[in-house]
Amino acid sequence: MSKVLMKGNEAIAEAAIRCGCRAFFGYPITPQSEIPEYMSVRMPEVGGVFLQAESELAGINMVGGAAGAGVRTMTSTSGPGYALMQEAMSNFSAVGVPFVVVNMMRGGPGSGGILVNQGDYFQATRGGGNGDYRVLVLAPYNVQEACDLIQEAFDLADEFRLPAILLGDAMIGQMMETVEIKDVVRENRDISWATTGWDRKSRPRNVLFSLNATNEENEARILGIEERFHKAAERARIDTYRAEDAEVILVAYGTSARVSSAAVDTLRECGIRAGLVRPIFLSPFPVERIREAVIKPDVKAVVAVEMSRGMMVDDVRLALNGEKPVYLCNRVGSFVPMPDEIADFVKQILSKEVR
Amino acid sequence: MMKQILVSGFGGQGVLAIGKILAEAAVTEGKEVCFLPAYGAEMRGGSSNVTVSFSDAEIRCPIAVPGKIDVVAVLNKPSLERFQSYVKTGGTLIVNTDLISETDFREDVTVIKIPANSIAEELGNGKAGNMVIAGAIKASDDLCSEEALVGALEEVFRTKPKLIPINKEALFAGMKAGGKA
Repeated sequence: MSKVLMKGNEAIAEAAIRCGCRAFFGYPITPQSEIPEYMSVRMPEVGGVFLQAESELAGINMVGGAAGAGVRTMTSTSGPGYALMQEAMSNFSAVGVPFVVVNMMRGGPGSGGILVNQGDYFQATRGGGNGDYRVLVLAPYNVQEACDLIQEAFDLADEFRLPAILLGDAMIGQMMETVEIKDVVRENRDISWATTGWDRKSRPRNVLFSLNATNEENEARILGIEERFHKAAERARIDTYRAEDAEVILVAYGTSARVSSAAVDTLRECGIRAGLVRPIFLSPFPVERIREAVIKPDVKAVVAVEMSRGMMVDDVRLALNGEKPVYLCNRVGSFVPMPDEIADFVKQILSKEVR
Repeated sequence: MMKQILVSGFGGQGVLAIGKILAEAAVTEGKEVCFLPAYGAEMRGGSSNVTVSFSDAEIRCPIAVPGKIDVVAVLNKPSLERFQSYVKTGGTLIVNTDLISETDFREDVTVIKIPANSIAEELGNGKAGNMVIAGAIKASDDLCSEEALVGALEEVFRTKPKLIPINKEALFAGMKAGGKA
């Protein structure tokens, strides 16, 4: 298939269908409403189900129901909508129901604004549901990667029996880019755990219920989630740009990473060896990969670039554990930090570090 | 080598359509393209702009940065004020003189003055002014072939075939008006 020009949201929806997603439940919210719109047309064509729920709360519970019955299922929303889904995220994480949530970040807090933003990093990676649970979070930085990662997200959710989130932003959702969407429908997914109907003693009953009868059962459930999450961490990866010989490393994801790569070029033109490390996984955070790229004698400083008051920077600091100085260069309010601003910030901190 | 254009005007001038046909044309020629619209509240009545990036390789940063854009086309006065500084030194500024009466522009860029609406009106439909601008952008920087651009125009107007001839005429008029002498 040759490349076509597609809007991010529509391309993501098509990519989900091409990897076997056959149920979509959701509620419109800017900047991702093109996803349900596209699904409402495409799902009937492929024999799938599209349903516009009465709220995000209803939608995510429908997702859990369909996914619990073994169907590849997704929903899509933005920060305010994802906030409403937290009870269900906790519940379905507890019972190991795999599905995918696309979260196109917009401005916050509250209703915030509808433009590009990264203030939902904690909401996505830490979650707002109760209890010891974790989810998988993947962060694309262009439309092609968004298509590839949503297909991977379905596979990872299946493999680790955890909900997976594709964390984009308003810009990735709304821009059009050239993409090639792959057909990767999985045959023989393991859904032996799913509530597919009990035909009398052919197997034990499958029950998806998050209240535990005993402490031991509760402990085993939590440790099981943790074990699967740790296994998923082995897959957590990064992308790098001109980072091999860098003296200063920018760390950024999503749209911030696109701007940061331009800042890297700007700095290189000024004779400063800058590089970019871009986490593709945000949860589990690619600690080992980042350390390999950053803990080198040449690296004088690390700068997290974010469109928030500083969230991912916490994970960068935890990963580097004080071994390199970590700075934050950021804008909020849907202002995108410009390459020159980032470059100026880097020059300023380098003059301090070199002292 | 990446090239970027930025088109700005007010909602209803067909700003996004200009970006769309240039983008679609480049895609048919195998280019990597990123079409980045300003959207939201600006969609209704206010200003509207789009940045389109073209490249043979992966497009890393598609965001418009002041002083870095190859071709900026401004369709109304507020757009001139906001985006004149975005043109790179040696780049091109295309000005719709029907709605912009200014005569002083930056001297380090090539300025192409085009009465886009008047040209389109003379051809029979003032609404095709945006295609005059699209033609002028094509003429000022070799982003795609003429055939690809015409093909993209036919594709964009597929559902309104009656409008294809007038828009094609406008496109060609723009190419003529925008060609560097």
